Amino acid sequence: MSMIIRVGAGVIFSGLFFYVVSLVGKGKLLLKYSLLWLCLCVVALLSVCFPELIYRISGCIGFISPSNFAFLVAVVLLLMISLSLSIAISRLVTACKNLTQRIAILENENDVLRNQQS
Amino acid sequence: MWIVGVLMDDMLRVLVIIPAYNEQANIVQTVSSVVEAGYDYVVVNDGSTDKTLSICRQHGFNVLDLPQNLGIGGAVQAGHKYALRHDYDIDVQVDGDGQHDPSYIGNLIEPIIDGADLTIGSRFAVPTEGFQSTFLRRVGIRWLSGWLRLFTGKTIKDPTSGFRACGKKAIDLFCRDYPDDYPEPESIAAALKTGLSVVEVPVLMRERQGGVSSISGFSSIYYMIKVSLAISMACFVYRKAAH
Repeated sequence: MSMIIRVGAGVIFSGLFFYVVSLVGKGKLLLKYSLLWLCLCVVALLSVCFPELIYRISGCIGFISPSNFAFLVAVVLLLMISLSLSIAISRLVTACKNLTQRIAILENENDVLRNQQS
Repeated sequence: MWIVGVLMDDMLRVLVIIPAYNEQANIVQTVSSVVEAGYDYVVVNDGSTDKTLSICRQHGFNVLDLPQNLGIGGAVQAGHKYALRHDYDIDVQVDGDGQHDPSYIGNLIEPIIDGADLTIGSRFAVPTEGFQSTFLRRVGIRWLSGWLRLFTGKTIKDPTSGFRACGKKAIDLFCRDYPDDYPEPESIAAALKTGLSVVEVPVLMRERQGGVSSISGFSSIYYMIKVSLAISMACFVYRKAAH
C-alpha cells in the first residue's frame, strides 16, 4: 500500500469516526445504531495503520490478494449495517402501526364520551 | 332454528368489522345492510383520501379513523383490537366494497357458536353460483389453496376470502400478530398452526359494486410470491412458538 493511499484512507476514516461520534453527541444518531459504523471505522483504521496484519491474516486464510480480503471484510460489514437498518425499520413500522391503531380506538372512545355528555 | 339463533345472539356479542379504504361509493349501502341485519359494527377508515370519513361522520356511523393508511391488514387488526377492548365474543369482517352480503353473517358465526375459532366465507364451496372471480384469479386461488394444504394439511378452498368470522381465540391471536398486506391466507396458516379450528362456510359473493381491487397487474406477481412465502414462514414460525 502506498503512503498516499494510507494517509488518504486514514484521514477519511478518522474523519468518519469523529463525524459519527459528533452525531451521537448531538443526538442525531442513536448510540445503538452508531456502533456498527464505529466498528467499520476502527477496522478500516487498523488495516491502514498496520497493513502487515491484513497481509498476514489474508495469507493465512488463503486469499490470493490482500485487497480481496479487505473487500470481503468491507462488504460483510456493510451488509451487517444494511440488515440492522432493515430490522430497525421493521420495528418502527410495527410501533407506528400499533400507535395508529391505538389513536383510532382512543379517538373513537373520546367521541362516544363527548356525544354522551352533550 | 331461528329462535335459537336469536337467543344465541343475545348471549354472544357480535361485532362486524368493515374495513374501508376509499369506499365513498359503497360505504353507506354496506353499513346500512349490516345495521338492518341487526349487528354492532365498526367502520375502520384506513386513511382514505376520498370522502369516506366525512360520509361516515355525516351519517353518524361508528368509525375508527386511522390517521395513517396501514393497509388492509392493519385496518382489520384495528377492528380486532376494538373487538377485544370492547369484549366482543365474535367479530366478522365484511369488506366495505359491497362484495359481501350481510345475510350470510348468521351462517358464518354459527360454527363459531358450535366451537370453531375461525370461519371463512367460501365462494367455491357451492360450485358455479354467485361471483366466482376471473379465470386467472381462480388459478391463483387454487395455487394458494394447494400451498396451504401442503403446509398445514388442511383444505381451504377459498383462502383469499375476506368474509370471515373470528371467535375469541382467533381475535386474541390476530390482535397479537396480523400480516400487513394480503393477510387472509397467511393468517389462516397461523391460525391452523397455533391449533385453532378453521371451518369453511359456503357464501355467495357479489361483484364489487364500486372501487378497484387492490390486486392487479404486476402486484399480482408480488402477491403470489409474498403470500406463498408468508404461508411457509407462518408454519415455521408458529410451529417453533408452539414448542
